[in-house]
Amino acid sequence: MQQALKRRSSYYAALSIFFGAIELFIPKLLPFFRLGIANIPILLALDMPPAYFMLLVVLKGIGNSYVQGNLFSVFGAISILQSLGSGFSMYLMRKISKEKISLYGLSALGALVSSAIQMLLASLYVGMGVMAFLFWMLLISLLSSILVAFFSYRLEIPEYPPNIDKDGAKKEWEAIPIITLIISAGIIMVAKGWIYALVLFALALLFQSCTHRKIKIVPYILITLFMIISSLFTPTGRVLFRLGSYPFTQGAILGGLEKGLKLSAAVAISQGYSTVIRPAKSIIGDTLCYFTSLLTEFRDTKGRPFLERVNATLSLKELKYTDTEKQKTRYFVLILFSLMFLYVSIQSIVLSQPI
Amino acid sequence: MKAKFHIMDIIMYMVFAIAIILSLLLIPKPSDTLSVKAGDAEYAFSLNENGIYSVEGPLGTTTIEIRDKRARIIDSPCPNKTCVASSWSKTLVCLPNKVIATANSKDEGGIDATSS
Repeated sequence: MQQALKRRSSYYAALSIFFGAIELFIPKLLPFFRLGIANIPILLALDMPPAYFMLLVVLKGIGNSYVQGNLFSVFGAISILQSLGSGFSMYLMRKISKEKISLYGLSALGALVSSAIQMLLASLYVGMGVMAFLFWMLLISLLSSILVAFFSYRLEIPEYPPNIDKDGAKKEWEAIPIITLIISAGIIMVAKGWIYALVLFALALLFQSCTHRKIKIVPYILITLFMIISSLFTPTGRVLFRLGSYPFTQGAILGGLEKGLKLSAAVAISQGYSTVIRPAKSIIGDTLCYFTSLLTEFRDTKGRPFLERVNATLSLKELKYTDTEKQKTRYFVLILFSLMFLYVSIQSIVLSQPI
Repeated sequence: MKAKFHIMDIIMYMVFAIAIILSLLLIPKPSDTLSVKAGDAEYAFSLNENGIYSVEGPLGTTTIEIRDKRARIIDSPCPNKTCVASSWSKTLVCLPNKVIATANSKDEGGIDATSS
């Protein structure tokens, strides 16, 4: 019974990541924002026992950010915490109100809590300027919550997961990549100055390239622009020009640039490590095996209408996992890059001047 | 599965609508700014973020502290340091270093500080 529930948790989490991957085809307005169709399996799992439901939402948070390559950056923490917060609030509301609330109400609650957590966490890093986006984020979240509930009533998701052959999965975690990841991702966040942040970002891109992870430059530009725009709401330093009475300051622009570059560097490092740290044979590994298999099957249905492809993938009774790992990054590359990140970051702190 | 609406759904959407309206109050306003004229240069600092900032006047660096939406001069190259002694104020003035700072906030800041 427990094993069956565990399997259901990891399968529903995989479905959620699968929907999240489909969502990537829809253009994003801002880097922090998600439409949230990944929440459909969560809404349909509210009947599970609490421990297994919470396991599902944690797996969803970890898996989603791992697949998008952001798990080992601040976005990973945001993803897990907002997933936990919205999942817990929906589950609690469902228990309190019993059958007196539909998936529309629960979806709206989840979206509200998720937006609030994302903004709160983003404001800790970006500052209160990020609240300028809260109004628009809530509006988009409200609309997406209606869509999520609408599709949740129409999609047929099997309660029992299909069988999966996962002999291709790795057996255990390795220590060196985890240690070098912690050093690299941690130290760059305390670096000071936009020039050093630029150097760290360039190094991080080089690292990403060495790990054979495809570099997509647009998300990095969007992250940096988002940080600069958010920082503009907090004037700091010499006024460059005014728009009406509002001052646009040098310090705000450079501060936003620094935060954006550091965050982009963290994401690039995370992207690189996503190819190095592979899922082991654990419940996280099981979830990612399910996800990879679902995505492979979905790709195989190319040419048919979109919804038909989704339904065909969901109705499969047997899945097969094949490890796609082709390139290996040597340990000395990981150690060398972590030492370079360490050196540049410490230099930036030592040489930093007060404003 | 078929959707069946309940009173809790309506309450939930009302809560969401209230949250959207309240979020408008959180948009940062240009009024919460400390505007500083130092010599020929113009500076601006948010009153919503605590911090210590430096501005350059003809005599040297004047250091301003912002805390809890209030501002004060904590260091100045002027001879008498009256501006430093004046502590928290809505308008900070250091005439020798040609620094004039005005807090554009809805909160009251107290008596003006001047130095000569």
